[in-house]
Amino acid sequence: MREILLRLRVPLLFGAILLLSLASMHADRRARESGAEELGAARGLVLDVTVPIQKMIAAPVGLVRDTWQRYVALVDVQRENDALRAQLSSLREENLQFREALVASGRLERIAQMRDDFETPMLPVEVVGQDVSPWFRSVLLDRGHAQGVRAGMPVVTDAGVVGLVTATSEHAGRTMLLLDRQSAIDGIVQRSRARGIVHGRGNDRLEFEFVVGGADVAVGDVVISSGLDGVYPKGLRVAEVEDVVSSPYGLTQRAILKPAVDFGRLEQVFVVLWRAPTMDLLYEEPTSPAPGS
Amino acid sequence: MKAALGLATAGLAALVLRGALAGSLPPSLQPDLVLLVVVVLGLQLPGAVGLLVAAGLGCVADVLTGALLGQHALLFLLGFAVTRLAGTHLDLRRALPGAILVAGLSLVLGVGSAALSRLFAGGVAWPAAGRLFAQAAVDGLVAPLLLPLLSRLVQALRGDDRRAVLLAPRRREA
Repeated sequence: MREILLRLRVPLLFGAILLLSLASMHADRRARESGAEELGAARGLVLDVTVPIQKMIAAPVGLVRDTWQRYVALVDVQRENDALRAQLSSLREENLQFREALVASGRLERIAQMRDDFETPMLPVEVVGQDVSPWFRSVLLDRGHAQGVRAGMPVVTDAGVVGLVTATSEHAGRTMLLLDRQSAIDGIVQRSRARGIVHGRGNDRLEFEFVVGGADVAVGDVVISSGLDGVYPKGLRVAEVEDVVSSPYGLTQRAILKPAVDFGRLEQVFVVLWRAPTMDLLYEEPTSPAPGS
Repeated sequence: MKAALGLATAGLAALVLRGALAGSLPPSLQPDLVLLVVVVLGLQLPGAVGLLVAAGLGCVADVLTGALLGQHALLFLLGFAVTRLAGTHLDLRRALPGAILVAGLSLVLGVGSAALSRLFAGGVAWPAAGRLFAQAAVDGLVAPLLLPLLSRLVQALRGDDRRAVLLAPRRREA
């Protein structure tokens, strides 16, 4: 018997780990659905240990890349600078017109609301590791729940939405990028207010599926967060329409989007220290039952 | 034992290195270094220890990527088993068979990863065929360069193991 067991040791171990993996995935899925927020001790330790090491390795790599980009590869900088100056001037003018229109329309409460929106506290966080696996688009952050970062908080840059914090340990966090195939955000076309869901595709583009066919959308339109998903605040820039694709009978319509954020150059991001009420419900820590209940 | 520890360290280093270098290369041009370590595990440590190291590396990858705990472990286990099986029929020390195996495994892992996500999380899109094949091509191209290096590392460490075994009885006798 012992000999047989010894001979079958490897296949048996293979089967055992296979079953364990399946059970573990099922349990992890259930834990996530019930809103487990912070990683357990072992998993938290892996993240806490990895992040400083990755930071150490990434520092010289980043230095070389920055040196190359800032001091060597300066082709086209002058032309880009001129184009940006022109764009800035045009945007300033546009901004002025919008302000005038808002004040003139008497909708001052909207201005107050906008101010409130932008006063949400944000924590600057460094991105230390990216895309450890080719099939998951995620980044590691160097701040965790000790600094107030919680799962379910949106992550942004000055350019737009980056993703969502999905797990935290004491001093590290993990963020699922908008590009991940499991990622989705409710969005609207800023110009026409056409609504839909923006999905990640696993590559460097996003897909926008419209709620209704024949939506008014054109190449170059800006897509912003609608706030209706109860995850991201309203009005954050998400992406720009690159291509519009209709089904043969025009029943459905989708657009390919270029993300507002350059995910290849993520270095510093901001965690919005705000969590939507729906996320609070999802990630609510279990409270002990009242005595006698 | 040293060989197993060496490959486990190489696997962890591969995970960290990939994360640190991600910003410097487009995603489809980044080789899946951990997959190469799993292939070497299947070739050089085909026993229970290799199996455990492959599953362990998968668990660490799960924590770092945000995949379901067990997802990479299962896929690496599969990669390990396929390599072991292929190793008995093909001479994987040669560049071409090794590259084809790694490219094939890369495709299987990409599809398998999406399939498991769909099975457990639901509503997750399949990866684009172009992305899958680009990743497989990059992994296949890198394989002839890195597989011999990793194999040499194992052989060097295993040599130390053997020397330690030979020396052990003499020490006892002394």
